[in-house]
Amino acid sequence: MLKPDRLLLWVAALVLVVGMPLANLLPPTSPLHVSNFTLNLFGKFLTYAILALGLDLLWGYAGVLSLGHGVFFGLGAYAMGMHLMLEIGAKSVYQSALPDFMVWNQVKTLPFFWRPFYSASFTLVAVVLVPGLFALVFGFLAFRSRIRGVYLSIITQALALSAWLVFNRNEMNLGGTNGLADFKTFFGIPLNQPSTQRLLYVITAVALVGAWALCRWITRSRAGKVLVAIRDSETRVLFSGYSPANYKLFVFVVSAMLAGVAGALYAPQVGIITPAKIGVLPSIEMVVWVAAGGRGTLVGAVLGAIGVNWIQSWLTTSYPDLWLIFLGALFMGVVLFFPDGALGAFQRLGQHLGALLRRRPSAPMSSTPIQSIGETNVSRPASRTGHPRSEPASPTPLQKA
Amino acid sequence: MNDAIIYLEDVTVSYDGFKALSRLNFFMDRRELRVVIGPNGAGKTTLLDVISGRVKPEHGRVIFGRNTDLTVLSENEIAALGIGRKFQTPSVFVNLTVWENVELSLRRPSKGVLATLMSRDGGEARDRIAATLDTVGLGAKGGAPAGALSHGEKQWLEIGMVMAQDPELLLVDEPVAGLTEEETARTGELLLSIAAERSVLVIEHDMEFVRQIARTVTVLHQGGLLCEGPVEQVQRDPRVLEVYLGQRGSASRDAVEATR
Repeated sequence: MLKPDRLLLWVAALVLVVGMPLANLLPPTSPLHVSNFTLNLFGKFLTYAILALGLDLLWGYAGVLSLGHGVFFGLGAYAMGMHLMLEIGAKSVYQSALPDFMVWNQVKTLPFFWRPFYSASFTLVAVVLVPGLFALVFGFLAFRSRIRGVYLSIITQALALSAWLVFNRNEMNLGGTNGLADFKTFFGIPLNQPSTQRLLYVITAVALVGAWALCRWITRSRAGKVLVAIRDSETRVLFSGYSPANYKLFVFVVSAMLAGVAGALYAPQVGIITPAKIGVLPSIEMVVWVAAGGRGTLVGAVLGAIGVNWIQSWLTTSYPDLWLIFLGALFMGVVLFFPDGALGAFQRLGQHLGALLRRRPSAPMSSTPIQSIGETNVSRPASRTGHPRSEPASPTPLQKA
Repeated sequence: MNDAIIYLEDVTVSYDGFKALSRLNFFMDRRELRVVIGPNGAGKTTLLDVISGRVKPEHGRVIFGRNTDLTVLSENEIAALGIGRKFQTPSVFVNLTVWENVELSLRRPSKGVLATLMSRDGGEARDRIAATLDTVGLGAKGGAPAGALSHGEKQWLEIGMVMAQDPELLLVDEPVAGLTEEETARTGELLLSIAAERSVLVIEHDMEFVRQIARTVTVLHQGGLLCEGPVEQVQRDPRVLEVYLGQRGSASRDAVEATR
């Protein structure tokens, strides 16, 4: 049963990591050619997928819904953006060593917190550590005070709103509403060349595979089971000798770091980072990706991030007015009809088809209908398929929970 | 008192002025099976809350073993010390398998994030999980998701999970609520066998069940200790009769039945 799934996954991963950049190298006349534009677009989608993995780890596994992950994405993107701005140096419009917006705002000297970003190695550490440390402090305060459920979601949303307000202020010396843009080079390599974009794409794809491996390692470990246990019954976890606050803090920080990496890879590929990527709305969109793809499964998160954004880029070019309506409909549809997201819907469809196929040759009125009712009541069909032998043993008590 | 497992001295707990426990003194020996009864609102569950760290008393001391003060510790620290708690409504991890439920509960040197992330279970741990599942009669269902178990099976799984913590003191809150007669009898046997090696504190309403398992019974009333003694003696105590008969509802019916 699992074999074809696995195979499909590997093929998809190979196509994304190796196939896309290779197809970009083909001559434009080739039917398999992937344009620079498309490759760049997918590079952006893959950064979103990295973020979605972290968000899924937090929400799909530990049950902690963050409505403020745009902040961590933004911190990573701004950290990278600051380095890229400083790399421009005197090649800027005003030919000053200061970033253009500072000249415009009549800032005479580089603010102290910009200075370390001259260093490439500092920047590479900062894109992970700045969001990580921020999440550590915020998460420590929130989880220690046992803020959970919808209350935690609300304060993360407040975090997103306040971060958006702060980043919009010119006094912060972060470019205000216009953000950071007009990057010229990426660690010395000119950004306007297709080969650089290809390199960035490959780095992003490899980072995605790395993020996936990390999340998989965590979810497969006993700590991953503790995360699921926290979602099921936090009290039981507590009385089993674990500190749920520490586990939630850990996974919150990991997911913030992944968001930071995603942001850092986003900035050079898209060429601009503004506060619009930080606020409440983008943070909620991120949650929609995970929900639409299927939370609680790592593949679902990646699928959702790429799928929803692919549809978005198609809809916003072809039917620009429809996008927001579609996004709203998608979210409501997922909440009302597909709580397991696209992946869960596919799996259920597969099970129903399988049951139909199996029923036809067998005797009429077998026990299959009862089982299929049971399937829909359990929130994670993926985990159930792993233990088929228990199902015939106790079909009825399922309803008791 | 030199061999006490748990010792509460002058403990007061109040919720918004209502005294759930009022200057309660309570004491239990090692390897004792104690049943606590009392009408609704007598403070039975609060007693367990205080011992397991869920509620901090506003006054008094709670001493575990020789000299560990529990009032300054968090729930998970108290659990790690060796106090297990079984809740009234079965509380298991429905999205994990029966096996994984016990695996997470197993007593370990550290339950910190890093240790849990790194460690893999060897054969010894697996043997312990399998033995625990056999004890609670779920040996054949290790691979089933815990959400698919019946109510009674969930109760046993949770008892198994608490046993896997290898606690010195087990706190059990109404273990037979909602169980069939047969399941109740099996649960009683299970608790008795556990009590052979550990101290067990059971809260129960079902007097039939109390008679099956109890050696010493403590009666709480309005947050204080009403009386304590062997089950037959307590049933005949006029104060107990008065408390129960003065009440309406299931508790009084239990008591009437108990006095027959």
